[in-house]
Amino acid sequence: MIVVAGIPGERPTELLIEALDEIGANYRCFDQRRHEATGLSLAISNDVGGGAIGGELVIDGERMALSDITAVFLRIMDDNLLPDIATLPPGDPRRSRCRQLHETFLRWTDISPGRVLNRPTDMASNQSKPYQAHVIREIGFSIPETLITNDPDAARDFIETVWNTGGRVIYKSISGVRSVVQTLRTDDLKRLDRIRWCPTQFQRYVAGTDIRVHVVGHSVFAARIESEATDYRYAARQSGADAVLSPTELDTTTRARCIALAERLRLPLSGIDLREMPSGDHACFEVNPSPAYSYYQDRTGHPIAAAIARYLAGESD
Amino acid sequence: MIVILCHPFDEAALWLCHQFRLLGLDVEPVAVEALVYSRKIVHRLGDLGDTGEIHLSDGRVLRPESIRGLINRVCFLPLAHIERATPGDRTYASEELNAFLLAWLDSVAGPVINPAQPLSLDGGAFPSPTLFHLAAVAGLPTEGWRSDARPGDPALAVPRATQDVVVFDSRTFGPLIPRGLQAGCRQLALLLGVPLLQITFRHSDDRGWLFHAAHGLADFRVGGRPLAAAIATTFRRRAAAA
Amino acid sequence: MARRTRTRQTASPAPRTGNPPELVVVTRRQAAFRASAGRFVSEAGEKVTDLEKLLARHGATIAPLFGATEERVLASLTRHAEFAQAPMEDLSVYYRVDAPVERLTELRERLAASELVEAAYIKPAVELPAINEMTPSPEEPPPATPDFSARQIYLDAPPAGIDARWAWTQAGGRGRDIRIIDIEGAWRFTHEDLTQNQGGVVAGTQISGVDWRNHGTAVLGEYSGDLNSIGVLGIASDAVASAVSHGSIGSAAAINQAAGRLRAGDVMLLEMHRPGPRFNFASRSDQRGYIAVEWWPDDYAAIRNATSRGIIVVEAAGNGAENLDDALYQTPAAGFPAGWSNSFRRSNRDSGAIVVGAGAPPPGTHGRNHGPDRSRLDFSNWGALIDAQGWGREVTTCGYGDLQGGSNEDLWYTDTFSGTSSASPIVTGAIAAIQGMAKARGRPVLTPAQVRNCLRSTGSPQQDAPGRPVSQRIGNRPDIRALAACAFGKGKEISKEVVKETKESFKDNKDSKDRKDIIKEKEAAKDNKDRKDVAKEGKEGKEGFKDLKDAIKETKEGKELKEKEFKEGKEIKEFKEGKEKDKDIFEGKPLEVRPGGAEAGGGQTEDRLAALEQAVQQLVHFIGQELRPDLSRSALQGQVAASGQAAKDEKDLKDSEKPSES
Repeated sequence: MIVVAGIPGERPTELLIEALDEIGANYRCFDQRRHEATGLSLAISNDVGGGAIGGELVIDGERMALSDITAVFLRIMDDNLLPDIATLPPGDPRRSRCRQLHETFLRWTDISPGRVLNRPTDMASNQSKPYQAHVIREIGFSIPETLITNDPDAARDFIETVWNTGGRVIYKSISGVRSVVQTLRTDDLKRLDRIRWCPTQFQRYVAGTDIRVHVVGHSVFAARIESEATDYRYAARQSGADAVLSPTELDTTTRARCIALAERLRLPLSGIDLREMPSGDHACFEVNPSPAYSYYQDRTGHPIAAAIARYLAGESD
Repeated sequence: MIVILCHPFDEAALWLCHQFRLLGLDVEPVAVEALVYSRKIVHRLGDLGDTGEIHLSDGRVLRPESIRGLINRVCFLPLAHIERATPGDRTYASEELNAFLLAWLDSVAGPVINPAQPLSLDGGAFPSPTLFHLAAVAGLPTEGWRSDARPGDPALAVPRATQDVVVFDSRTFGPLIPRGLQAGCRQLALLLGVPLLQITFRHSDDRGWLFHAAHGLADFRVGGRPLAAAIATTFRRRAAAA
Repeated sequence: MARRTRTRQTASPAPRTGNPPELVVVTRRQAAFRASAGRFVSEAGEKVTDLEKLLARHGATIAPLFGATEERVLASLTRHAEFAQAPMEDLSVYYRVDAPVERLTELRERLAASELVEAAYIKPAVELPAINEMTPSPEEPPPATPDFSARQIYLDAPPAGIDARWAWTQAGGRGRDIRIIDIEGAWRFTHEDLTQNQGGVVAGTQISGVDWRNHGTAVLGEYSGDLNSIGVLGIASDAVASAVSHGSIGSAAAINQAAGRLRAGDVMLLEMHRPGPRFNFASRSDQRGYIAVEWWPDDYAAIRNATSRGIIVVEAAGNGAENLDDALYQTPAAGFPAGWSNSFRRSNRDSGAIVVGAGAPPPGTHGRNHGPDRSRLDFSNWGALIDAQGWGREVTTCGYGDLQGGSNEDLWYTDTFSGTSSASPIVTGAIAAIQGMAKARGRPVLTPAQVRNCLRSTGSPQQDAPGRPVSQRIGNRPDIRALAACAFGKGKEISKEVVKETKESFKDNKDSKDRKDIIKEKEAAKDNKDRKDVAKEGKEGKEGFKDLKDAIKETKEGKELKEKEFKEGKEIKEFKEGKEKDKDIFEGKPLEVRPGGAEAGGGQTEDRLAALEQAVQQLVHFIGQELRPDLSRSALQGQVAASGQAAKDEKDLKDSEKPSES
């Protein structure tokens, strides 16, 4: 039995459900919005040397032993933001129950012996880009020249150095909180004092072509992205024209590094952001543990959902 | 230089600092607050590694590349200095500071005890189901754990007697406990992937000592001077190897 | 209720009770029963002889619970009812029956059958929390007690503390013109750090025994420790702290006695818990199943009358590790009045009290880890009715002698006072501070409902701990500054000094405007050399941040753990229970840890910090809000339709949200 957890109508989850149907997989959906129709108990036994993981998941009255669940796909949103929960006061029993349900679910997926895309604890590495960059660097990818500082003078020095060598500087969040990547302009220097109370991340812009790689187990899908924008995700906003995506092949080394990176971060499903530099080498910016792969699948025809479905069904490594 | 990064009220860390000095180690205690509130944080990442400097108000400067060992006792992120920012910016800034601190702790040249983890800056906080599962796998007796435990369940009972043991580098420190439990303690630390772990046992009338809790933020005083000496030796050995 | 801090293999001591169980009788109001001033009659003419014989046969006596005579109880109620914000409970029908303990059960059953009697129930005695096994250090204290206030992290800024140090910069912020009465067993009012604003024991007879005294003394130290340079600092040391002992009079009468001495806005602290129905009201050495006193009818009535009069009643939730929302508490105990309902569910009825749970202090406090900061401690009761939490471990205060001991009890201090006992005085102190500020501003004092609302809507939130999730509610840790904002509205809490500082910071802003001009100039400058000079000027022009820097520096420097404090550390006796009782642990060269504990008092630093925070409020992040899309919202929108908006959201969503780990 496979469990798909999240919001079923959301595109990546929807595509996966279609792919699971196509291969005739046995699966159930834990629809977060229907949390009240979902129950979960988790029990760790006291047998010395075993600590067996027991309990059951109940969806719409159907009871499933956790030990029968062989794989889980998670694309969970913050349960505090669910529409029927968000408006409840902090101590409301319905809010507490929903929180408890999610908490237990996440803790179980951390230790479940089955295949999990991805385990919550492992997904957390994306909460700090420079932290993840250390692993990326060890794998052999280039990482952008970066400065994190709360000192406007140091920021100015960095910016001047980059500018004086003909480069561009971009700034973006250090954490996993999404920020639109921006190119730093002269006007922005006036605001530099704002960094005094919170260190901010500046990077030398890496020239080249964006490559987005999805790793599913040992399957790799790479897409080439042509865009004039600093952040192609916001291409229409930044450059007035949408990004153009096409399937591409990676060289053997880069492909192997992507798989190694996903393995090292224990993220069998990952979306890796690369940029192919004019030298032919690749810089890597981050590894996304909960990739919205649908955007790429829809534009490149890559069968990513099918690969995820096969991985969950145990049909591929 | 060995750095003990701790909160000002962390007496176990300060005690360890004193022990290190007695053992002749070059140790600097640094308050987490001093680091986070620093007026000058400069941290660079590149293909060749991380470099940087954090200027503390007393004139000291921390450089991750010259730290030969770090005792990480960051229990929480001090945020008093941004308390009155607008709520949106405060939340964002706390995420950013957390992300920075995580990366900074990971950039230190020498060994870090315990290495920070994305979900716990002190690197030693684990969910109960994980702990009880791995404790059993490690061979420690437990009461088991249930998400739906109700009052009255033995697992929820407040222990009447507890005993603490510290594992460091595959050795146990503190009160003598049965050999079988010692092996289990060492195994649990290995399974959790932390060099330093404090394990609490509870006493049950019928089954004797049972695993009760574990965390990485160990009270060094439980292990006493032998523990301090063992940590010092590890730092020395790694420094020599470097 | 206090707990031992570090359990060891030794068994807990037997629980200590100050009093025997109480047999409480409620008579039917219509009977107008009188059993005082030599009378034993029903003024409504009902037959009383059977009841009189029954009592005589059991060697029992009966007397009004809440006053010398029924008339006096009624007169007092009438007097207070004029000013009450809600109808008062009729306390004149409550009686206390004294009888040999072994006959109580049988007597209760027979009393309950009497025509005159509406209810007859036995309340287990209030117990001294099976206590802190802290024992006084044998070592005599130094000639002068050191300043321990740096160890009172609960005074500090949130989230670790309640921001008492900020409150002290505010007029009335130490609880001026507020009275606090603590109800429990005994106190040591001759303690060296309890000499100012002490009202002493105003009712009840103190229970003998050093354990009872230690407990009360520790409670007092938290909010009433003298404002001086020795020992500890009380959160609300300007408030007048008195005490009422339940010894000899029982808990409900003690509450009523205390209420009679308090005015609207004053604070009453109930440091009591007793065995509940979980284990059939049995006394236990581990105190499992012990609950807050308001569950019993007479205690409820007394509390309700106090809160109706505007008195803030702070009640320890108890150390029973109990879920107070459990259906178990819906069932009345044997002999409860027919109209009784469970006040742990406020939808049934509401005592108006502020109920306090015990939360973990920041991990690492005093070198120990009790779980994530503000998570429920294992012994603390929990439930929807709990309004706020305080530190349930590592509370440095007077008494016990594990921090400073010796032969003189007046010089004892502890580092490890614990339980909902140690948590409730922190909340009490925060409330007294707010009420003092209200009075100093010429504003009405807060009502119990306002205090409760503000405690629930502000403060540092409870956090999850393994096995003790936030759903096991113990509420937020108070934040006095946020409480003040809630009570008085934002921006009105600024003291004179801060106004001055704000002016300066306005000046600084002007400077920072200058600086912007300089930066502009700088950009215009092409010549590198010129630029450097201007940058230098820019540095000099940084007055706008000089204050900020100085404030941070001062705050931190104020926190230096000095040599003196390390010598104090020597007295801590870290290894008292451990195997290594090293004399030399803290000897040798003192440490030079830079930013140590909290500074003791330094008003200037606090003012500057306040000004700094005012300034920070105006700051925004370099990466503005408009560059930080809210992905979680679009996760739900994204599925609506394949509209243009949805497509854009999907892109925004790329690699979206983190798993919910909150």
